[in-house]
Amino acid sequence: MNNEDQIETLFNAHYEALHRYAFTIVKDADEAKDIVQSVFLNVWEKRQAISINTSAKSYLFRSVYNQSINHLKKDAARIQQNALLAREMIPETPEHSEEETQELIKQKINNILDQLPPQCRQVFVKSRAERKKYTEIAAEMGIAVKTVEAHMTHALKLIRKILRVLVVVLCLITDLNICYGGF
Amino acid sequence: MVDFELLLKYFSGQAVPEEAMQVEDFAAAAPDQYAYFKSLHESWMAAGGEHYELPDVRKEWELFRQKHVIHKVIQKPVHDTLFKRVGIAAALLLLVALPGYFLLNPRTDQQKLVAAGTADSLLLLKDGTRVTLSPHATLSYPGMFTEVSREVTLSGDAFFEVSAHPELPFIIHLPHELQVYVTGTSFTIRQRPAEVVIDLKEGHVLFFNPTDTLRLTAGNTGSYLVTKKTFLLQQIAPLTGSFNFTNASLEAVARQLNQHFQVHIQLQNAALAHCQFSAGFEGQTLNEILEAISATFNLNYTIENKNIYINGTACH
Repeated sequence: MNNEDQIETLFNAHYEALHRYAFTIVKDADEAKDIVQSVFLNVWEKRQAISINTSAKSYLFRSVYNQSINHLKKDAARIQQNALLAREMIPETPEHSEEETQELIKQKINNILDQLPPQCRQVFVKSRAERKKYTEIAAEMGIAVKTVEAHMTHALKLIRKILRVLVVVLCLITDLNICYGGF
Repeated sequence: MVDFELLLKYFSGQAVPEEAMQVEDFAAAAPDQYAYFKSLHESWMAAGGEHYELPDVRKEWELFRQKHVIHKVIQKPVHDTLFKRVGIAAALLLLVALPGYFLLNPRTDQQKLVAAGTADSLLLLKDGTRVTLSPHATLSYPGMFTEVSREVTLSGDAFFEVSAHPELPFIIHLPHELQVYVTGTSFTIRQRPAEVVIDLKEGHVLFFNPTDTLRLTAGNTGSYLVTKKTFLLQQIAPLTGSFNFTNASLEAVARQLNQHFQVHIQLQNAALAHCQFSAGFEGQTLNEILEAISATFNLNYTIENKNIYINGTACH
């Protein structure tokens, strides 16, 4: 395998995941494209130093993360919108571990279940707890897939709102008054 | 299994790289999981009034390939190149100390130095790199290095002193799909049927094949075992060291010496641990330092391989 084949293999194997990851952070598809191209260019230029094994994948994801965060930093106002970024910028903050944050999110989601209308709650539980696809849920409940989609969107809208508040609360607790949710 | 909450965390752009990999691995694991993942992401986006569309990966690859992969080598008119090559050869012949001969290939830009005779051949490359080829070694190198790297091919043994160009890596291609990657260091490459060995004097070197990479730092020796296809790192302890001890306890002194010389110094008398020692050593051997310590406190020591036993009654 020559170098071009190797980089093409890497590109095809990971482009989608890397683009999506970049997008989740920068929230712009074109910017995400630029970031992924830039990351692969970096790998290509250093191609002799990176062997094609699992470490290449971590390197790629880490690079996308770094470049995405850097992009956000360019817009100072954005710092307020991303808790990840806030954590990066202010090292002394007592960090919640990733697991703790997830636990908090889990609790919050559990709490909102009661606020969902019955059929919506049923759909949401099937998706979250039973990992059922929308087509499966629709079949099981005898409703249209479009209805399932609408229910999920409704539930997630609520979750996004709550999580935004949660991040704000977290920030207040940790005395970070400049950050507020990016959810 | 990936938590639902982790998926949401990912969608909202709060996932660290390790989590992102977990999520994407989950999505890619099976078509069902992929469908579940995609529809959940779509719902998440819709919930925020947003939209996500995957780019055409093939298109993106073509774009990338056109821009960066197609090689950019300096092109010069043919007669110029010929003249340059002769010029280089002439300049190099002056530097070759002992027998070796050049093969000029007019069709490609590659040149070869085949070291003949019974002594070493010295070769100076265009970038200032000095290569000392052992008898019967062959170095193949281009008339001009490209803009992105300096690449040569070696068979046999050679000592390299690579001139430092941080933006321009120096890459040595060896048999067995091995490569050596440096920016500016000096090291020896020895090739035998059963193994390929790199002795690194300074700087650092990446020694790798398509599946594994060995990072060598100064003073280390790395070898590649041909049949097992594995890399081995042999660490060589330095022969000398420089230290500055100011009222240091013998315990602390022993610790530093252990670490630097890769030995195991043991103070046979526990009382010795707290003796206070002040002295400066500049490029001294372990023995010289042990002598100094023993003389200071009227101690004696014995060496058994990597173990050193220091005996004495107390600090004087």
